Amino acid sequence: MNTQFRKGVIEMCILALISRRDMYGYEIVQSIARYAEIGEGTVYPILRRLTSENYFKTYLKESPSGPARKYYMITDSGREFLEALKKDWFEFAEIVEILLRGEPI
Amino acid sequence: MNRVEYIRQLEFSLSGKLPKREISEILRDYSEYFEAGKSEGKTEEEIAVNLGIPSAVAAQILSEIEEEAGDRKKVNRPDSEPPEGGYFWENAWEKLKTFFEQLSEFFSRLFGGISPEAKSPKAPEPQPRKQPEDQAPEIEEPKNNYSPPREPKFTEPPKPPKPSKPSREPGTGAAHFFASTLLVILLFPVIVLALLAGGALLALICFSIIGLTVFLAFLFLFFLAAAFAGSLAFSVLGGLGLPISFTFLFIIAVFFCIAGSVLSICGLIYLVKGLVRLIRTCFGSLRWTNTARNPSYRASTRAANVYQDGWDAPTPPPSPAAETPPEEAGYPAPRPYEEIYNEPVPEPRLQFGNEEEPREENGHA
Repeated sequence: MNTQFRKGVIEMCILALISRRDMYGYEIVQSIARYAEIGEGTVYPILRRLTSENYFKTYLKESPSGPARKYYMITDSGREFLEALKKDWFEFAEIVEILLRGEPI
Repeated sequence: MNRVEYIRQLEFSLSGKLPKREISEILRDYSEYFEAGKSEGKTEEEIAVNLGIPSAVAAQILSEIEEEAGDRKKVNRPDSEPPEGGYFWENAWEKLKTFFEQLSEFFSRLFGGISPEAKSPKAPEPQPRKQPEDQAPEIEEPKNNYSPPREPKFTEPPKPPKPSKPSREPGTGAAHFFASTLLVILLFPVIVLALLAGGALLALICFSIIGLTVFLAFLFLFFLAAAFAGSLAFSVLGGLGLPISFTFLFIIAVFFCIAGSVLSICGLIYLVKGLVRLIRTCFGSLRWTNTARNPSYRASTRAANVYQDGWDAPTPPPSPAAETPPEEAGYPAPRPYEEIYNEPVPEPRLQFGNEEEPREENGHA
């Protein structure tokens, strides 16, 4: 997948994944990195930024193996932001598709 | 690279660029990442390779934060601005308060009696418990899950962490910075000097009452206490990783403490000497030293007046009845006029080129 695509949508993917269910850091990174072919080291900084912008809340939950894990939960402002991003994405994707297929605009 | 090394390099790359709290949070998260990876069967090296080199990861984190700060400038959220003067003076007042709390706790324990729990006004608040809610647990991240282990110098109940805040307390800018700087710079020597004054006073009492041995013993205890305070300060402040300048300041303060003690002891000795002399001149053995009752004083003043100032000290008029012979009155015996007249005049030491006119004997016609 093209690098330029990836960078733009990583935020969206993180938000979308966590809006489905609460996940912990490792889980998030593994899911995205596997499907979007990006470095694992690049996901966590973005996740951190989104958390400090209060799109996520975190809580600790005991895990069966080892120390407690930090789970990320989407907030209302996170959901709003995700909806706005989705709208932008679908509009953009539509136009790009029309251009690429050579269809009349 | 194994986990410990990775975390250490990450910490090194981030130190100084972010507040300590955030750095330890990040390190905790990456520790957790390693643990989770290991529980899925990966080795630490694999995880480290997948994450990428620590400096690159640190650069990414910092660039994300910069980007966030850039966005925030448009939204104008003052909480995200780092306090002026950097993170060194952040929560300086709290650090100072905790330091003095620990100090007073130590001393009260040393001198017995007061248990730390009894000091209720200064007792740190217990950590707020997570309030259970219906939907999801409340966010309360305990502070410093990844703090490096700090060995306690003396047995002390672990201080419960202060209630965490979602964002840093907003610095009020230059005023806050200058106030906290001045406070720390001025407060430390003031307290040192106060300790010194108290110690000197007690030293004076001991010295005057009991003697030199007790005084020296007290002095030794005093310096021991100062050394304890110094080591305590190092253990508390050193754990927070303050830069070199602060430790230098403290070393200089300790030296001033020692020098001040020495000087105050010398001053005390002079003070005591002067006091004793004062008392003696008023009431004691030195009472009549510089008065007319002292024959040697009288003689010395009279002699000085006669031979230097050129006027005779006023003598009492000779009583016609009983005139003391000159020898007894203290004057040299009167010499006959002829003897004085014929006394050879001593050669002048300095000649100014008048060899043609040698001085005649007695010089008069």
